[in-house]
Amino acid sequence: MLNLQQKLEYVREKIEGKIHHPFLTKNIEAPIIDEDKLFFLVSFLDDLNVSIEDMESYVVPTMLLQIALDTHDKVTNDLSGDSNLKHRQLTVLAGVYYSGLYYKILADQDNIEVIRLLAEGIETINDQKIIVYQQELDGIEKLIECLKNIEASLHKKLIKHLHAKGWDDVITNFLLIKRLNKEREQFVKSHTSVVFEGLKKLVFPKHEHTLKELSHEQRNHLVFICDKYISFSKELLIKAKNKLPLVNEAVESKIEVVLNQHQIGVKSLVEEG
Amino acid sequence: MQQASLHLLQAGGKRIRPVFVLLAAKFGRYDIQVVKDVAVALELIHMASLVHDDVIDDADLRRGRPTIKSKWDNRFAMYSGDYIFAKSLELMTNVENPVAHQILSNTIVELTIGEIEQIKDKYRFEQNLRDYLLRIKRKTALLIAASCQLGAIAAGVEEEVHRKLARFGYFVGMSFQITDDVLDFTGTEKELGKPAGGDLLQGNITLPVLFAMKDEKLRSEIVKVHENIGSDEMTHIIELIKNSNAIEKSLEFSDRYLDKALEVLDELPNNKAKKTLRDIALYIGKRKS
Repeated sequence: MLNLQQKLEYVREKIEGKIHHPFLTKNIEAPIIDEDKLFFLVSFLDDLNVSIEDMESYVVPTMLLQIALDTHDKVTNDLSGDSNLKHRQLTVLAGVYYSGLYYKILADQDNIEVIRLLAEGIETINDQKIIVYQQELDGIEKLIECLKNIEASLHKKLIKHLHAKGWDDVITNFLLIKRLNKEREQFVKSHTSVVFEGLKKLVFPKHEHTLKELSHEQRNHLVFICDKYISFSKELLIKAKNKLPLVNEAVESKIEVVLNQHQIGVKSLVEEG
Repeated sequence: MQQASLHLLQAGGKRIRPVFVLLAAKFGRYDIQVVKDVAVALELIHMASLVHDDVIDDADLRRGRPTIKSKWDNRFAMYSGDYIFAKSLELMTNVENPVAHQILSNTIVELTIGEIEQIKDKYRFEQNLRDYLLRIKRKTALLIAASCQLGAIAAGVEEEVHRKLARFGYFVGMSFQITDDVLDFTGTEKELGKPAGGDLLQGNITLPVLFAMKDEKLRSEIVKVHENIGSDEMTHIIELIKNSNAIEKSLEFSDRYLDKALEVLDELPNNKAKKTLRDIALYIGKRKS
């Protein structure tokens, strides 16, 4: 019988096999597999004692969709030089190709129900991405809700479908913390972040300037708000984890990492300040 | 998202895919409540691919109207395209026949491979007719074939008939794309909604170009085309192609596919839809835009 790590390796190999396309591999960077999202998919399915074959049939198409979304997130608005055009063209097509594969795998398995669930998840994710990107937000809570949906909708769909009690809050809060940390780090480093753009618009609605033009105090205030939500989500994550009947060591240590990650961030901000 | 969807709907289009779905369904138990989901799904798949294509081609106009990527931006276009694609699959899941999903999913993957191949083959003047035909099969014909076949499957049409409808759609699709590739040379900017000769300028080697390159003198001119070619030189090359027999030969090629489509149609049961399918096929052969 395979342990969690072996199961992870097994499905990762399957995913890598599916995403390999000689021309894409030669011309654009290899797609990144979100290890945390993969880890939690495998973990909750393992918790449900799903067979390795069934695990593969859920995880591979779900991760292909996640890879497709992440690939399309790389498509930017700026373009300089013709080589970049080809790169952008193939990035768009790579994302479409990976999402086509999700459909093909599930169609070949006659799994129409999961095709529907994941399609609904993708709709939610893109709808919420547009809300955040266009800053059509009516409050910080809405922004946080959008981020939760963007990060965890695919997992949530499968969790609900398979009645994986308790995992929804663990995974949603874990992925939210990770996302907020990432946006925070990017904002502190380069004063750019789509999430902080949204925060700025909500906190300083009359402020017409860009994130870079905010004063040091204003920037710190936004980071402070972000930190508040990270701390709150951590509390929720701990509570959710404690509600799980059995938490294996790997899940425990994965959660520990994200719970400790932010403290380093605070220290570095204080030092910069 | 609503604004973007409305913008796309108002941008128009021939809607040939949903028309084929609805007509093919007339060969079986026509239930609009079932068939409409397939018709809408097929049009949405096509729409999503156009939204993505406009990012790929960096196109500001489609059918003379601003594209999603130009009205908003690339990032917005990616999210909208992905949303529309997901919506189409969600609608399709109302059809619980696994064969329908296997056909459609295979079509979508092949369509994307066709687009990747198109980029791979850009400015590759050594390519042959087979490369071109395989590319347009993937890029256009398979989705039209799937439209016909899925409409029929959703209406419970027997396998022999839905396979024939797929073949009809495939031949019509091939003819349609060849006509499209000819129109790219012969159409006016107003008719096309973009400058003529755009395909070759972008490095896409279409059937008129392949036929024109059979003439050694013309070939030596055509192979000079590159991304940064001057507009005068490009106009000259387009004129050379237009004045050669390449356009006529391409149209003959398109007609041969159309004839095959009509032959398959003859084998289908007689009904009103069959007559309409014939009319559409003939229109496709004669269209100007």
